[in-house]
Amino acid sequence: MADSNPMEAFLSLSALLTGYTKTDLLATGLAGQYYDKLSSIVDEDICGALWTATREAMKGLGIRPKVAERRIRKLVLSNAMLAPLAINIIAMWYLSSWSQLPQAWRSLYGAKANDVDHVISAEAYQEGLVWQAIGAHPQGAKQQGYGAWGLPPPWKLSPPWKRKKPRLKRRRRAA
Amino acid sequence: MEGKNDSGKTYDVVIVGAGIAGAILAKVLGNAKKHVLILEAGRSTSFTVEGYRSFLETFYRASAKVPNSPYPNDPSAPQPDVLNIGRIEPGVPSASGYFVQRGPLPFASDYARTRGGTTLHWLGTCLRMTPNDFHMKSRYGQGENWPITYDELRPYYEQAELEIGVSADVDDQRFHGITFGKNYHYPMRRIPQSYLDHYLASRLEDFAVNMPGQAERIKLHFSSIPQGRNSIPNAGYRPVGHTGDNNIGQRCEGNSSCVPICPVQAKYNALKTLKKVDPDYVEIRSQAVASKIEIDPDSGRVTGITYNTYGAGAAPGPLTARGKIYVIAAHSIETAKLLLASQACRTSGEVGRNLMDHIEIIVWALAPEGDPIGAFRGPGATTNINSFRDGAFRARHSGFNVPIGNWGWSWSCFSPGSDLMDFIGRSQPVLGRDLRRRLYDRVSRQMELWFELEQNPCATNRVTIDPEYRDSMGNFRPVIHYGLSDYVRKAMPVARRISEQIFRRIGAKDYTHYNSTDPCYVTYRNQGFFYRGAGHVVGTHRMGSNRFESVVNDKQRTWDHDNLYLAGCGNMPTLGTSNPTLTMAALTFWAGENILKELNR
Ligand SMILES: Cc1cc2nc3c(=O)[nH]c(=O)nc-3n(C[C@H](O)[C@H](O)[C@H](O)COP(=O)(O)OP(=O)(O)OC[C@H]3O[C@@H](n4cnc5c(N)ncnc54)[C@H](O)[C@@H]3O)c2cc1C
Ligand code: SF4
Repeated sequence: MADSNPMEAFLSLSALLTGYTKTDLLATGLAGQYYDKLSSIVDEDICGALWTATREAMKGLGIRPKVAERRIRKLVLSNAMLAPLAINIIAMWYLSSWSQLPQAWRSLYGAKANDVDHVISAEAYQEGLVWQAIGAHPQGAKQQGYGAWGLPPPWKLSPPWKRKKPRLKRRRRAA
Repeated sequence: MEGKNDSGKTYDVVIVGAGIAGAILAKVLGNAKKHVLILEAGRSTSFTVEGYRSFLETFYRASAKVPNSPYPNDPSAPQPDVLNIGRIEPGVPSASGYFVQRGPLPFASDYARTRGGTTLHWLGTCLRMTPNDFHMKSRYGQGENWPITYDELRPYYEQAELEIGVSADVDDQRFHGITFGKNYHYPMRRIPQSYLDHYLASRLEDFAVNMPGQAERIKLHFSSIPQGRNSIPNAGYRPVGHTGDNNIGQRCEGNSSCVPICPVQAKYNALKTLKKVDPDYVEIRSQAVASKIEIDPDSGRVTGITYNTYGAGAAPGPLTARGKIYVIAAHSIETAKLLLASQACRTSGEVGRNLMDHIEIIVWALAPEGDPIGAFRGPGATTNINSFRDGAFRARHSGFNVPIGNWGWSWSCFSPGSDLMDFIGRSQPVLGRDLRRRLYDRVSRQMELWFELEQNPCATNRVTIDPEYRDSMGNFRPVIHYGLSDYVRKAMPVARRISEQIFRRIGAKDYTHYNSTDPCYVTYRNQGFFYRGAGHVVGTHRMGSNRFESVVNDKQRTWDHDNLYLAGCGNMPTLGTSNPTLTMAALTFWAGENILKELNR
């Protein structure tokens, strides 16, 4: 992907890290908040390095996710400066919160005053991906309705990762 | 220092505290056309839709979603917070929060100081006590006897169940000698039980466990929990919804956040009772912190309650409210503190003593692989294993109730956040779809059982005051001395043995482990456990049959002061194996009747 828009790189990286599609992520309405949070705590050139590494990993049209993941593990997660940022990006999407960066990182790359543990916003809490991932709903929001807790858990028989993509039947050619 | 008479008015009754106890009394007395003043330390924020909504927003933004996280702490009427529980070194109190904890162990519960009180963040479980709970001393040689019996309290249980709006089926609740009046039914039908409840009950009903020290095996018995949350009403009952908008919260919707806040108020809280008081007769004064009960030294009668106001429009100095009769209903710890600060009720020397709570021994496991049970859905607990609430073993160790937790490993391990951090915090983090799959696989199989051990009364477990420790208004902070007796500790390994048999039977993998660095870590015969508090705070101003061993009599009136009554769980001489609030509410209806009788004399 040749797009140099950092937001685009942030979304591609987020999708790869979280296992949710870019569409899923955009649907939360929080991509902007999370991107801004990262940019307000981490210096521009470090963020820039993260986006460059992401673009490098995603190079090539339609690469297989496993290949992209291998590259991300090499270019981002094996890089002491970038790895903690990737972990924080996952935590933002899943738990709606920013966790203070590791001390070692802070002393090398700068410690901003707002680099403290906190929930990003009330809206973010309600969109935390962890709740979807576990087949529940955020505690205190998106309630499932009276008695829903007595029903079998979602995906008991067919979790989404086991579902086969429906194969498109080839239309028979008219004889 | 006595203050100015605030309005020159003498009320029939002055009540301190607008929690469930104060609210019930105000309603009963106001309906009988008595003039009532409630002094409430906290703010009235909770009373409007916007105010209540602001609590919800605060909860959403809180990093640690502990019981008091939605309710702001006000330095003028501070409240304890479980986040302040720390290890207590010998001789060094832990005083980083509101409590001054002298130990040896931390008291592990909180309460809320805001209009509506602690029911804002209670779970809403409304069990009746068993008849034997009222006679622990004569039956098992432990604790104390109550001066009243189950049968005497039964009509007041019915009033309390109606007020709270309890959902339950009578047929599920007849066990351990609990009886109901003929044709009695709860206001609403039982709350549906969770998938996990059915999962466990279908595999374990009638399974008999071996109980250490007990010759015969004990059969597991599951019963739905009576709950103060709205379900389908029985004929003639109209559910009470959100106090800001009655159209909201007519049914429990499964928000799964009852502790610390029900977004729609489908769960009972004391605001609902406060909304029903007759405003022509009942006045609620918020941000009014009682600091002293004024007592006439000759007659021993109470002459006023001195209090301080704060915030916009606060009076410059202390004020005094006057009435014919006074009731302190400020929560068992605050009530004891106020009595101590006022040197009231001194004859027995029991004020502040016998502080008790249910000691929560949590055990946790994963359902067998491929068997998600759907954790984190629904009210906190919908079914109890009630087999151990009463039995001969109570002569040796605590009895216990065992609710099945519906919220995964949230209490024991801070799930699901801790699960995510575990997966991504590794040197090779789990990523992408694999992360989603592993999270689902682990968290949706999580289950907790809560063994709620009954504490026995101990004179050394007590609330005291110390002039060295005061809050910003100059009022005393509670100084707490607390530990666990062998009677309770002995039950810990028993609970563990039982849970091991349960998990083994259903093929669940037991993950329970008690970290010795936990501030609430305790041992019994070299076996370690940690405990949590239940918020079931009783005993601190107990009732009894004579003035030398108790603070109030069976009528809930203090022995020492003719016109002073106490209301709240502090009146309960023993804790029993049920959550205490329903019983306390029943006692409060009874107290209201006694106060009316006295006023009408
Ligand atoms: C997490 C949690 C869960 C719980 N779940 C359950 C449950 O499921 N079932 C159950 O039976 N019980 C439960 N409880 C216990 C229950 O909440 C209490 O028993 C109940 O709220 C006590 O009612 P109260 O009116 O005596 O005190 P509170 O509800 O605490 O109300 C006391 C009121 O007095 C006010 N006050 C305090 N000091 C002063 C002062 N000096 N001057 C003026 N006003 C003052 C306070 O601000 C407050 O409004 C739970 C408790 C906790 C903490
Ligand atoms: S489950 Fe939800 S709606 Fe029901 S009582 Fe609890 S918080 Fe309220």
